[in-house]
Amino acid sequence: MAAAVHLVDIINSRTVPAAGVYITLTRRCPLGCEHCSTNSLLSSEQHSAQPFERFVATFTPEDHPDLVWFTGGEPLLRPALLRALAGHCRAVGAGTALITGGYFARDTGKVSSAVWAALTAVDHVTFSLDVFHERKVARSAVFATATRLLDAGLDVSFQVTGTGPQDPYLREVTDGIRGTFSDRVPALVVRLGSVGRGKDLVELRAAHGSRGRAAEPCTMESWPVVGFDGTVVACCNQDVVDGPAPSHLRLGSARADDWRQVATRMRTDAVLRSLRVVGPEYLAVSGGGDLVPGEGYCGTCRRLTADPAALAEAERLTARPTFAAVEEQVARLQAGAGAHGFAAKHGIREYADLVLLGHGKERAECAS
Amino acid sequence: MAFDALSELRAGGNQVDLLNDAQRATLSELSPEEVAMLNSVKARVDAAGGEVVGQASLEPVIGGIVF
Repeated sequence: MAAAVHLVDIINSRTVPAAGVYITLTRRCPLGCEHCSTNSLLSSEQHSAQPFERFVATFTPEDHPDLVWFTGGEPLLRPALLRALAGHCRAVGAGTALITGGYFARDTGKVSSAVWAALTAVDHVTFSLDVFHERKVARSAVFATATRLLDAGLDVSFQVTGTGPQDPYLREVTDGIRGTFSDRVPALVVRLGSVGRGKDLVELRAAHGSRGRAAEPCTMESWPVVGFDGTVVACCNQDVVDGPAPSHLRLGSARADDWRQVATRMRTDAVLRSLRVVGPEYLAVSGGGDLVPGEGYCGTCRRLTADPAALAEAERLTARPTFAAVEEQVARLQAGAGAHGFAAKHGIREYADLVLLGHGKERAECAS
Repeated sequence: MAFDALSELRAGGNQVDLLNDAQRATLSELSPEEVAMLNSVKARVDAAGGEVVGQASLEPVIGGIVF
């Protein structure tokens, strides 16, 4: 029986260090979408299952992430592996979710028994929906699968991508989601990113100028990411995951480290704690070293390893006995913004309300 | 005049009076630098509902993972 895991629950834990973990099971995907953020093709890299199996096996009833998020590529290209991993997660009490492009329904709209078993082994399924995916998989097939999953008692959501608040596709597709599912199914609406093959479609918007010595917490560095080859990193920036990750963002390896070690590093490392409170530009400027903030917020972060003064600044900040209180207050402020605030900040603000759809409704009511 | 962390936090919009006594006592020990951090974060959180474009929409994030 799937546990109730609404999109709001996921978002609410998204900024809590090591509350969840991302596992990228494969870079492969058969759809070959023009905007793919991971440059995925059916011929892309796919590594042995062993590191993933080994790492997930270290989740215990006493010590496990609250949520395990399977992604790729297309994680459902490895349905047996996904089912096995999700089964262990469920056995130890960890919630599970996956994101899919719905390749399995593209021809006939029917789902194979192996894929269905994997889909129903998790608690929450998110479908990627945008004009590019819709060229490969019919929306009607995606909606039909989502309906079956809802009927089976799972939580479902959509991650909808568009060019901006004026994109007519976003209005049309979100109206379709709301109407088809009677406002029971939430959607997170985000901007098309200049990443992967998306770089050919979208010019990277100018990052805001450095705010210098003004704290700007990193909210993307919170859940560890197990990369395609088993390397575990502290943030979900594509360049970091593709590697080689700068040493201050490398948490370990699924081939050698267990969950407890990874989670402990995530929560206690001085640089990671500092990044979650003040961000990389503050460390660079306040440290007074050679690193000049630039190349965007993440660009500055990726270069921190080369700036001993910035790393020393992180040690100085976290050594203060009151730093834990600062962390707690930052967490309160972020939690106070809620799922809607998160969606407004990280997605398209005009559609942020849609993350709340279906929240608080009893599953029995939804299924009826 | 001595630095009053709680007053500075209030001035920055932090709702410290909603916290319990123990939490307020801890925050009263914050340094000026730490208070400035929190006031900056508060301003960022408040601005998130406004015109600020979020970090994740500016940066390349894996697999479209936002949450």
